[in-house]
Amino acid sequence: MVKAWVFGLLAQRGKAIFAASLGIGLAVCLLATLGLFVTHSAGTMAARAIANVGPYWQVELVGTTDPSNALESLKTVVTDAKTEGVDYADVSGFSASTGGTEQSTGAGKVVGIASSYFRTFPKQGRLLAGIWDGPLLAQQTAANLHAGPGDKMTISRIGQLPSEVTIAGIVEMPSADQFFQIVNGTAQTTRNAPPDNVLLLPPDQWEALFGQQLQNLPQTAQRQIHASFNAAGLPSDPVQAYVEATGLSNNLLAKLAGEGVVTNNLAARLDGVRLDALFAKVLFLFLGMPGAIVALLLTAVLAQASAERRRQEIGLLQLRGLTPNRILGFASLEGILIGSIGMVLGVASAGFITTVLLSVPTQGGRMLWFALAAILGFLSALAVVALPAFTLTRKTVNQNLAAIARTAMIKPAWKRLWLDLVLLAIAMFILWQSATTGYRVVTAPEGVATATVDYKAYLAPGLMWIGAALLLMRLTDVYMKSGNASLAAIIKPIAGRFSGLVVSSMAHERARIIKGIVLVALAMSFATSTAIFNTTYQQQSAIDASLTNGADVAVTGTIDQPASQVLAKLQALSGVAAIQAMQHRFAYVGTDLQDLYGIDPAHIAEATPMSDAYFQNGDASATLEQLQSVQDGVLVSDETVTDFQLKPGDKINLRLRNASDGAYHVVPFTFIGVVREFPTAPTDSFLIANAAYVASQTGIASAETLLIKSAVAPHDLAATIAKALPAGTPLKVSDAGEAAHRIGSSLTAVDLHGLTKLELAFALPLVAGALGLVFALGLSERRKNFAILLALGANARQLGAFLWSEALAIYAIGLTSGIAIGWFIAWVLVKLMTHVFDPPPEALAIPWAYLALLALAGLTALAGSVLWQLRKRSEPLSFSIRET
Amino acid sequence: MSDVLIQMDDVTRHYAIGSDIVFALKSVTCSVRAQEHVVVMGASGSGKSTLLAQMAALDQPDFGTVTWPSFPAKTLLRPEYVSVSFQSPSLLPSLTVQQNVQVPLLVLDQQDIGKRSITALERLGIAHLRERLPDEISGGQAQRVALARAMVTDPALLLADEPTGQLDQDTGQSVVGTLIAWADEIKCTLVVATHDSQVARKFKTQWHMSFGMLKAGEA
Repeated sequence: MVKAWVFGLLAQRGKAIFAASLGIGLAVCLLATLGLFVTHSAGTMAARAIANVGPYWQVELVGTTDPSNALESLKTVVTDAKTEGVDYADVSGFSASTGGTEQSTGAGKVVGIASSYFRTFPKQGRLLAGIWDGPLLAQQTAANLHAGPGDKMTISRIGQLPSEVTIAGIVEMPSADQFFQIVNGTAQTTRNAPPDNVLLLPPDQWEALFGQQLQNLPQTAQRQIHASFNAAGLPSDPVQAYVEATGLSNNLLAKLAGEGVVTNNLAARLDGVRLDALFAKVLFLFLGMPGAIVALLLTAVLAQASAERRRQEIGLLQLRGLTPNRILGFASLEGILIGSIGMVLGVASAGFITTVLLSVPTQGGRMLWFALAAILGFLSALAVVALPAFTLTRKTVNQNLAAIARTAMIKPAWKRLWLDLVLLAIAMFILWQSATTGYRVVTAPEGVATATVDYKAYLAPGLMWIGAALLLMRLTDVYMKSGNASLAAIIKPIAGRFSGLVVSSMAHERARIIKGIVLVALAMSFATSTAIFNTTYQQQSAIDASLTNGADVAVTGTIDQPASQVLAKLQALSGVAAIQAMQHRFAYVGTDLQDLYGIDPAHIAEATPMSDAYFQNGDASATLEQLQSVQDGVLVSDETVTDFQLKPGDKINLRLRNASDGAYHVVPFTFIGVVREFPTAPTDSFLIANAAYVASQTGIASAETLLIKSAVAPHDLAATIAKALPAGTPLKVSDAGEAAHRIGSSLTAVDLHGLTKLELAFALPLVAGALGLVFALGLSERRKNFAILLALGANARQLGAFLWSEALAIYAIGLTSGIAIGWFIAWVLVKLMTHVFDPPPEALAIPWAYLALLALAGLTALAGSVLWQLRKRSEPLSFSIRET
Repeated sequence: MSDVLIQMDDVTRHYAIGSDIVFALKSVTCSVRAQEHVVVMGASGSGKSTLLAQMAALDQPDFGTVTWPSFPAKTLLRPEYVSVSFQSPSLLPSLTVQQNVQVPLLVLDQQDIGKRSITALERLGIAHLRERLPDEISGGQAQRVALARAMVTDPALLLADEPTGQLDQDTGQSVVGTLIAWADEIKCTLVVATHDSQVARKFKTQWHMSFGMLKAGEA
């Protein structure tokens, strides 16, 4: 009998079962691909972060401990360790006589380091001039001393006579903050501002000059071992990798037995990544789950389309004397069929998408995600069919065999309990609570292996979604119940003289219509929130990369080899949308040497985005206008304002290098505001001033950096510019894409294009499906109505009045409320993700084109559905029951 | 204009039920003249409803022809010239009683639909039900609403299938009396199918259906 029942189902309802299976397949596919993508992204995030770490461990030896003992201990913990010795000594300052003038600096550090260090850790240094072998001067120090390769300089040692060395090369140290960090003996790093003045000496030379200082003044000199090892053996999951990396360094610490302390750069970087990995999981939950829920709701709608027939089947089975459990078993067969076909479709399409379209490599996580998604899909299919069947088995034969199912007109519990408003109130409360903590929803206490997500905070968008959907049901119900005159006026162009009847009919049928509206609104809100969040995310990633790089493309030179010399040439290149020169100098603020950027405030925004978040007053255009109007104006960092107790309008005397004698001279400025971030600027203190004023005061009009807005892909423009520059030029060309890669572990640095495409591609069929399927609700009733209207002589246009009017109401209300809910959810998500973005977005980026595409796809699906129903309309009701 | 409203010639209609063929109409030839009042009698399943369906152009014959010499194109018959009243539930469930009666008037784009629909309901004694939904009235009341809906356009021909099927004897007699009086008043032709001999007695022309075959006769 089971076999006959299954064949009967397939023969009679094959199409409906397949359509419902597609809904389940969509949900399974969405969950499996999103889960796999996020797991893979977390793994990629960890791998990329590790690739940029440099030395994994910095082991600082205590006192005069023999480095060979520490090295032996290290080899027992990691057998394949690559190690380099690094010695640090504090000095009182440096001085040099060049070009007939004498320059000196404040305190600095002299590092004993072998040239092999930069081969072992290639990202730690870049040679700008000269050769690797011999004393190397850091770029900023060289600028301060006006010194270059071949020049002599003097080191003012502590407690010893000054010593003279000859500079072999100039070096840039991109990871100076890590290199000079305080080694505190924990798995956490303690970053401090790197010294302004740095000289690197070969180990022998350092030993000769500072060996005695190490013995006598150990607080002013330290000996470290920098080590790395093959991290391929670490787990790909950032959380597990962090735990293992921490365990290894703890092991080393134990083996050193007090002879040294370890700073674990690897664990510190993985620590950041594990937060991002958790963010990614949260993103998955809040961007992917609504889509899967909508897909399951669509399946439920499809299943409901056969509810009438199923009710009568159950009545017949009851009539034949089958027990409720047996009947439930038969009814569940349809759910099992839908679930099984849906599982196969979902897993197969997820396999295709992840392997062929997203190229996610095969890994263990695939099976787990696929299995979880498939099980969830199967159970959901079973539930949407079996649960209503269970209710029907509790009814009498007469009730189930009645021509029209009578449903009790009881106000649903959620409506009586005002659950919609309650959920929205709870959501707003949670959001308010998160706002008071600065939206810090993902936290990782120092030194604790497990990062925690305040999942409660993420209840807010979930509750909001449900609450808003329920509120929409309530409001639409009130609006439609009264046979609203405004609705009649809206549909008048479609329904003509039938509009009153149509509105009245819609009022009586509102329970079904509202279901359709809410379904459309949920699908549309999923699509909208996903699209807005993803667009904002991509926009902020671009801004983040631009902030680091300066602009889409940046050309960087030095004061001696300024990039502005090629401005005219580059301006003529195709693909350059805008180009702006920016000075990058150094200025003394008291004894602090800070980066100073000279800009043209009227035009800088043409080449690089000027975010409001860059400035303390939150208004970029006002700040830049003010800078333009105050010729000697200067924007300084928070730290400088605090240190010098500055108030707007205060005069500040900075010292800048002058062209006349190459020495630093006082230049008066007026403090006009606070800057927090600026393209290419360091995260600590820096200054922004008018380039014209800096040029007039220093006699150096050239600009070291060119910021270029690209009209083509930045990477392509960078390649074009690199080709256009003369061979052997010291100018460096970089694009925002490289910067994004350098940012490394940040979540916004992860390329979510694949995920975005996937989600947006899923959203389209969901919206189209929701609008196309709304008429599946109440299909049998509608067919009966059509039959009656045809018998009464109504023509196709008059029949259409009912369908098109209903379609218009569902489309207009569902679409607009869906967009509104989606926009709000996206706003909440962006707020909750504030700490992912650097800088936080000023406003949501609305993907108008995509939303228009969604609206068009939905309209097409809806119109197609109406036309199909009109074409497929039943024969007119006849006198003979055989015809009905 | 011809005096004949419906002409059926050698009309056969059959259905396949499983492996059996059931003849609902077997070579039926008949005509209905203007202002004639015809009652079609016969047992359940004798083919009465199928005959009315052919006359209303709600069904196609398998063999033979059905023509409407007095009316324009077949597609324009309903509801201007021919109205129908069904035995089975035929009210639109989401419209009130009065709105259901208004539907044919709206289909014809006629005026005064409020007043005319009330008049039709009053004639059958059910105006008080006008705000009710079909779900909220009895089967007999629904049948009278269906009849009011058929009468409201003042058609040239009204086809009614068992209009008193769910009414008690007295009410049934009263409804048929009203129907005939109204038909006389507006010169409407009636074809009514019934198995109730009390109802049949009120009609001058009586036809009998048996196993798909028609026998005509005078009362």
